[in-house]
Amino acid sequence: MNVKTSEIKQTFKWDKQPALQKSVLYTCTYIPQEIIAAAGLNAYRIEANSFLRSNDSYFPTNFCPYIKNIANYLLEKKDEIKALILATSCDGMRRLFDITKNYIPDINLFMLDVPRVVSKESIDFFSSNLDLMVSFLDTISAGQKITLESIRSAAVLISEKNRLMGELRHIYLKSDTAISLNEYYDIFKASMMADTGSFNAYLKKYLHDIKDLDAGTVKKKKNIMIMGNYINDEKLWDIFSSLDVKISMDDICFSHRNIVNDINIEKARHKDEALRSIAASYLNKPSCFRMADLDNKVSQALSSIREKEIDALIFISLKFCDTTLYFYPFLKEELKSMKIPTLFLEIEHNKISVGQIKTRIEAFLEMV
Amino acid sequence: MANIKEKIKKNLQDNLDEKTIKKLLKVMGSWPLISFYGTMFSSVSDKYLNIISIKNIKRAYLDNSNLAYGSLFLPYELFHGLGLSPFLPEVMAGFTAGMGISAKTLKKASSGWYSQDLCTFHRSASGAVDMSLFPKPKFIICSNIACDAAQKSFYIYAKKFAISDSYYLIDVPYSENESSFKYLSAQLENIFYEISSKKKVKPDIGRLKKAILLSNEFRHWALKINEVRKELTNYPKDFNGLNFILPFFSLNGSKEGVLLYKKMYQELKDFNENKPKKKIKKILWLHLKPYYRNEIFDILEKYGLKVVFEEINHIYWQEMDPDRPFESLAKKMMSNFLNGPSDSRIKVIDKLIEEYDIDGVILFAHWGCRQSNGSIRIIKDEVKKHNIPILVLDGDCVDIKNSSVGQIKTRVEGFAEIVSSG
Repeated sequence: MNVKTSEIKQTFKWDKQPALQKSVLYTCTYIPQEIIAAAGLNAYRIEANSFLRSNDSYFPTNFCPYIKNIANYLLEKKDEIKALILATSCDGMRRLFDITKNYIPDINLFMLDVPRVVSKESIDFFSSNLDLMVSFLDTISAGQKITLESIRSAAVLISEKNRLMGELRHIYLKSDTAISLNEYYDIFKASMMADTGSFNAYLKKYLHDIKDLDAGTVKKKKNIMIMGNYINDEKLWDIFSSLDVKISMDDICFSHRNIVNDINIEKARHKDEALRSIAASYLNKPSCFRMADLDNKVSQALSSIREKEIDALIFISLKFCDTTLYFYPFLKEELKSMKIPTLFLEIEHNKISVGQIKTRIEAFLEMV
Repeated sequence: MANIKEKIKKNLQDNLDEKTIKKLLKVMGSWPLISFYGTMFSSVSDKYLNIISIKNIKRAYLDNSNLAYGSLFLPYELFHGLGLSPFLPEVMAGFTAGMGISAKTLKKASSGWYSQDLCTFHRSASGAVDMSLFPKPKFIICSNIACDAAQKSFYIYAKKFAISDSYYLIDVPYSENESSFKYLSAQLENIFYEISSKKKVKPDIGRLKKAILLSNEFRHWALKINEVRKELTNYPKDFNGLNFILPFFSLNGSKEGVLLYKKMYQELKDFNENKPKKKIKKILWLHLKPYYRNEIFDILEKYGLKVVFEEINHIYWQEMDPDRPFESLAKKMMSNFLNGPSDSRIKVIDKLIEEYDIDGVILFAHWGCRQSNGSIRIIKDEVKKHNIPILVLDGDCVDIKNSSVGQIKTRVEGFAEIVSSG
């Protein structure tokens, strides 16, 4: 592992000692980090990788493994957790809200209703829901109320983080040695959990160092795109790292779908205007499979495929994720007509069978 | 008579194409055959249910100029107000199970990369669309109430039928508040005017108001039925409240819906007043049932248990104001107890257990239904508070291969023994 990434881990210690008491936990890329940060709290994306099946009695067997892990995580960490914001992402998340409310009632809990369509009316509606989220955060953040100014400051911080993550991506794409795949996703992980100010400072320095370390060497490899839902598994990145491929584009819940640009609140005169701008930006960000317009999602994928000269697409879904699983037949048809080879993998959350998955990817790549 | 039904079924199973279905519907739906078909049913309710269903399905297949696909839980008053003939692929997927063709439709869906982890109502319907077994619609309307699957599968149908610009998702908010109603009413209003414009007809608010009045009338009779069922112990032969899912949703806002529910009320009232009372143990049924041939209800009957109510037949909405059609329909959708947090569903279950003096609850846990199955733990804990048993039957409403028939039988018998001895 690159020494500099280890330093990031040591500095932030985000994977060992998360500051849950000062954090608001969240689960979905449609939950604006800007608003949580504006409350003076840390937005902490739940990863719940190591909480598999410690307790399976709250959900049926054929239920999203990520959601089951989150429930287990919440049960284990309930005394440390200050607050949790869920979104109406899918049926599973709605049921997670019910389970949390009924069985872990001490956690401050808020459900953010996120529209599925993008229109003037849905942006208005989402703005009013963000206002409810503000009220919720006001009640839990000791005395600190969210103001237009605090939203502005938070947006500046998050925007800087997004810019730095963009730079990171640029270096990752340009070079084979400056940053490994595992490190790349590790930093994404940190960006969703760590305190933004400290993270930005460190990432800035880190990027400066790796820029000096490597000025762009890239071997000709098969260029692939991965697409999927909450895919965040070190073993999976190990598999890809061991093969002669470059993941030149991803569209997963864990990486660039988190990066929401174009939030323009400089000119906002009131908090409501700032919330509306955030609502518009979030609804127009790279979309999740849950959104209604599947054609838009396919267009986003096709444009990435053309732009990055992708040779093949690997579609990876956590098991029992309806919104993702329904998208694949649709995408498959479109890609077939463009002669883009696709591989479909359905996996458990952080419990993959390495040998089996590696064999399937290798066999697929041989045909590409 | 049973032989005729079997022959019809076999014919459909063996000749799977839209042309054959149309031919069959033309014959079956013609007078006097449809009248004869009606005589095959032992109860008035079943007779009207089947005749009206055949007529509606026939209309959908033979005249698709006004055909619109709709998902469950939509306000079908909107369809009738727009002069659209509703066709419900999810319900029709239940029919594929009943007709014994779901193995073929599911196989087709699997070959089209639909994961086997997905709900078979939607998979079977997708297979049927791919096999051209369902008629081509002009419009597709769906919502996200209770289920993520409809909005996705219906979008794919729209794409397959090349009518993406006539696909409408009604994005139903999670919580009831002023901005939710505003957002939802605006969507319903937009759909009404846009579809009118696409049909090249003048928007007819009067027709929509009429549909809402008919829906209120439907509600009136449905409430009376639900009231009678609180006392009813002696039911017409083969009556099963879970068979009425098609009219309960799609005929809301039509004369046929009113007629069917009025007839059903008269029959059940007559049974309640004139047939001898039976000693029964009262069962509340949650979620849906297997739509292929199964023994569950016979076993219950054998042990003296009767399903006296099904949550799906609960009237959750208030009478609507025809002068405020879009707001009224929005309120109806928002008050669906399957929308939003599970608290609403739990409240309904509590109320039904009390009002119907329930002795036991059966929840059919249909494979792949995250919405319902994700609440099982909460429902079980809630039902226990009433000191009555609950049986959660894991199975599949459409795919018999995905249900362990023997295990279901054993579990139903065990449950029936407990309830009957209580």
